[in-house]
Amino acid sequence: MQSWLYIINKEVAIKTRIRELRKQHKLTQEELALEVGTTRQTITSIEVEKYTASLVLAYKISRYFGLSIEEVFDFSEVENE
Amino acid sequence: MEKYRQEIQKQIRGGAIIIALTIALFSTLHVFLYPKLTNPATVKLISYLEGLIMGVVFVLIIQIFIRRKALKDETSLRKLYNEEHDERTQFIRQKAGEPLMAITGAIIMTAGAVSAYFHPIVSYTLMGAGLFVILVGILVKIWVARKY
Repeated sequence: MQSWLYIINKEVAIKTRIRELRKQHKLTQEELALEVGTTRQTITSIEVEKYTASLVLAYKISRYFGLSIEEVFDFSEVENE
Repeated sequence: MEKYRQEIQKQIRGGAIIIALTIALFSTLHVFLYPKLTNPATVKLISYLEGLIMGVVFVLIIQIFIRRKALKDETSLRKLYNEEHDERTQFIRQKAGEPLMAITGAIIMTAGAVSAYFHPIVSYTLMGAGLFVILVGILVKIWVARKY
C-alpha cells in the first residue's frame, strides 16, 4: 500500500508534443514563451519533462496551437497508475 | 499590460526617491555625525549598516535600469512581466523557501549589526550565521532550479 508521504512527494513527468508542434509552426522557445505568458526556461523544462505545466499554462499552450490539452500533453502514464 | 506599465513607472519613481533620500542621509551623516564619533564599535556598526544599505541601493539602481529599458519596448515589457509572473519561478521560490530564508538571514544579520555595539564576538558569530543562512538559501534555490 502506498504511503501518504509517497503520494505527496511523487512527481509525475508528463510527456508533451510541444517541441514537435513548435517546429511545425517554426517557433522558437522564446517566441512561444512570449505568446503564452511564460519564460523560455519554463518551456525548456516542460519540453525535457523536468517540470509539469499547471492546468492554466497547459491550456494556454494547447489553445495557442489550436489543439486540446490531451493532444499536446500525454497523460497515459497518469492513467496507468 | 497598461496597468503593469503604470506599476513599473510607480516602482521607478519610488526607487528614485529612496536613492535620493539615502544619498541625502549619508551626506548629512558624513558631514555632521561622523566627525563626532569616537567609539570604535559604533563606527564599525554604522559602517556595516552603511555598506549594507549601499548594497541595497546598488541593487535598486540595477532594477531601475532594467525597468526603464523595458518601458521603451513593448516586447521587453512583456518579457519582464512574464519573468515576474512565471509559474515555474514561483514554484522554485516556494520549494526553496525563498522569502523565509532571506528574511531569517536578514534578521540574523541585523541582530549581528546591533550586537556589535555590545560584543564583537557575538556580532561576528551572528553575521556569519546570517550569511550562512542566506548562502544556503541561494544554494537550495540553484539546486531546485536545476531539478525543475
